[in-house]
Amino acid sequence: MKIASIFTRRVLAIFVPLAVLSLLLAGLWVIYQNEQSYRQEQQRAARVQAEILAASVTAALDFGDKAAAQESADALRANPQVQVAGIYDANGNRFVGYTRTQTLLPPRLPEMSGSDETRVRAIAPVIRSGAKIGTVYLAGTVDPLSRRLSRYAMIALLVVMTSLVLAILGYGQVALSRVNRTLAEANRELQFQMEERSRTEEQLREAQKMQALGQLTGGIAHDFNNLLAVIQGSADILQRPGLSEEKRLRFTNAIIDASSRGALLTGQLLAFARRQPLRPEVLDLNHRILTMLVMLQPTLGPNITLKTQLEKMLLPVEVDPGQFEAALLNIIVNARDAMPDGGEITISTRNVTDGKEVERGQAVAVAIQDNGGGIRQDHLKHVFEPFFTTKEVGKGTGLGLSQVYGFAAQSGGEARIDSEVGRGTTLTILLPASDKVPQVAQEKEQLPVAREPSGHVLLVEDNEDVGNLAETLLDELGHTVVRARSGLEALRLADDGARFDIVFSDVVMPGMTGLELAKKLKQRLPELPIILTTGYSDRITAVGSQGFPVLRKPYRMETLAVAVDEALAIQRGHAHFSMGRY
Amino acid sequence: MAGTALHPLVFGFGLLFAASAIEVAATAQSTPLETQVKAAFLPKFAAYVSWPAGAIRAPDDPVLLCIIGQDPFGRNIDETAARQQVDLHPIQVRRLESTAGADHCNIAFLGGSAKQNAAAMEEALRGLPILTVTDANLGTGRGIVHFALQGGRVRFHINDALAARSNLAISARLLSLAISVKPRARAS
Repeated sequence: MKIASIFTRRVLAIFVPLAVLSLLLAGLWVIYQNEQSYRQEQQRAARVQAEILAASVTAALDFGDKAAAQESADALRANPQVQVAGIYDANGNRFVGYTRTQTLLPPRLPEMSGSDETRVRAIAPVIRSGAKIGTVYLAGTVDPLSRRLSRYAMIALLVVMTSLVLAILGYGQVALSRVNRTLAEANRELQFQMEERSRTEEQLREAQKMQALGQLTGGIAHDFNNLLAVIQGSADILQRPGLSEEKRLRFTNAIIDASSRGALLTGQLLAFARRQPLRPEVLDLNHRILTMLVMLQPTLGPNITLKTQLEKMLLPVEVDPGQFEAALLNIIVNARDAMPDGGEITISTRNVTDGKEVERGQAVAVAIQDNGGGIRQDHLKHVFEPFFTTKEVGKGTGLGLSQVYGFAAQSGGEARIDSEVGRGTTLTILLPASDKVPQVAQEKEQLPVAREPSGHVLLVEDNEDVGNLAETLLDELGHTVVRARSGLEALRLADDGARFDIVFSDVVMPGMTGLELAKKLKQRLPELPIILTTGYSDRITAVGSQGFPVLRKPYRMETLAVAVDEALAIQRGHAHFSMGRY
Repeated sequence: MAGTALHPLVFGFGLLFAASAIEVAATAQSTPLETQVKAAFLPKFAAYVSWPAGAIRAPDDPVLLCIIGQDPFGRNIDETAARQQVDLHPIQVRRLESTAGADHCNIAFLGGSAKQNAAAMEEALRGLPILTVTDANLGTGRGIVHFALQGGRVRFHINDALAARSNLAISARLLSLAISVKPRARAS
């Protein structure tokens, strides 16, 4: 394109002057040709005039009638171009004639030397009966140069105008291509800047992503630190000698609850990663709240007072209990953070029966009210957005209220927030009421006691700590444990004829995964019950569990006991449970 | 080139005379200039007149110029006629006493005579294809061409109507030189 434009400019630079020049030459040639033909025409006209005069003057010359001859000659005076008209006899002597100019009519017939620049001359013989009896001589002027030139003025004007137009067009073309070049450069610059901008935006997005990730990991670390503080504190107290039974039970429960909350938290993370479907159960929310309060109060610290205003005959709801607890926890943690100097948190429940609140009519409202600093109006509309947080990095994930909102919406209800700066915030979760009856909640699951030395368990776990814990738990439940640190080792043990009734294997392991191991073992021993366990469901989500029961980490002792007992019962032909996930 | 009689001016100054006129003057000093001019004119009429077919047969047949009655020209007319030629036809001068035997003339100058004046001659030749020429100085007869002096110059009247009756056509060029023209009837 650039080369083409340069080429075009070069061609134009040569073409335009050339065209103008040839136009001018053509104009001059046309004028010259016109002039020539004009002169020829004049010459011809003069000759014709002379011939006419010669014919008309024959008799007058013949009979020597000067008056008649003069009359004939004078007829030409009407033509202003005829300057000289002379009639000469056969001997070349002047007979009659006239002249307009100062010059005299020559007494003798002048020699014809053709016409010159300013005069047209013509002679014609006077013939009578085939005999020449005299000669007519005419001399005329051609139009003056100025007159002739004015005749060509139109042609000249046309030529000049055309040349001018051509020149202007040529110049315009050159100017246009120059402008085009400038535009192209501007365009390139613009494109470069656009690319630069999109690169910058990409970097900005990356930075925002990293920031979000930082907030998330910081928040998680913060939440886990809280839980770990509870567990560590409780464990420290439990180590002290001479502890009363009541205290020992309390702190043991604290550890168990903190672990449960940790599990909840990871569940929440998985939910955020969209890897955990809701598992709705029919719940009595009052009961759930009270259960949680026991766990919550110690973590809130002494400055925060927790109060409840619970409706007596609260309608049951059908929601995922884990998600509900996570939502409640999220709200309460936010409320606590809003009151760094302490304050009061009130959890209230009530039945909503007027049908205005939720589409299907009856609903249950759970409101958590604090008397903290409140939320600014401009922040209020953003609080449910993921990763929105006013907390500093490491203090919150920005996922909490997003989870609350998602949970409420997914459960067919909604979440609302009312806040006034300086007065406090009320967050309300509305959940549709269920007409089902809640399951009778066991206050405490009976710790399963080893009823009989149940069986031999092949435990496959690459993590030493988790493996030790699992071995301890299984041992406590009365099973005999054979350890394997990898899938290959497990296969080798199986091939070596090690005795076991059941396999309890981790899924994510280096080398062979738990799923692959399970399939291989199934080929060898079709009747062998296999339980898989994992804390990260990515693999399971991707390929499915292939029909193997999966125990989610972290698991409680009783859950493990039930899973193993069920598997053994199936193996022993007493199957009365359907296989499923725990 | 046949000699042409030029500038036969009555007041002609020698300077203006054509060579032939000078010659005429030199060779016929006894004859008046007027007569010399008329002698020069007479053969020239032949060039401006068309005769009907048959009047002049062959291309080289001469044009017969007859002087009937008195002859004022003498040798002058022979000289001018000899110099004159109409196309290929030479001009032959013939002198006759009367109109008898004049029917083959082409041009006839009617000088008149004691027996037959010019008018009678004209009357005798009327209707024949002959260009009759009369002179105001010589009797009362008026032929087709009639010499007269005007302003001191030799000029002529033309009776074109008479020419028409004689089946003659006279050139407009000649007519334009006449003092007067009696026009022919239009429906000829």
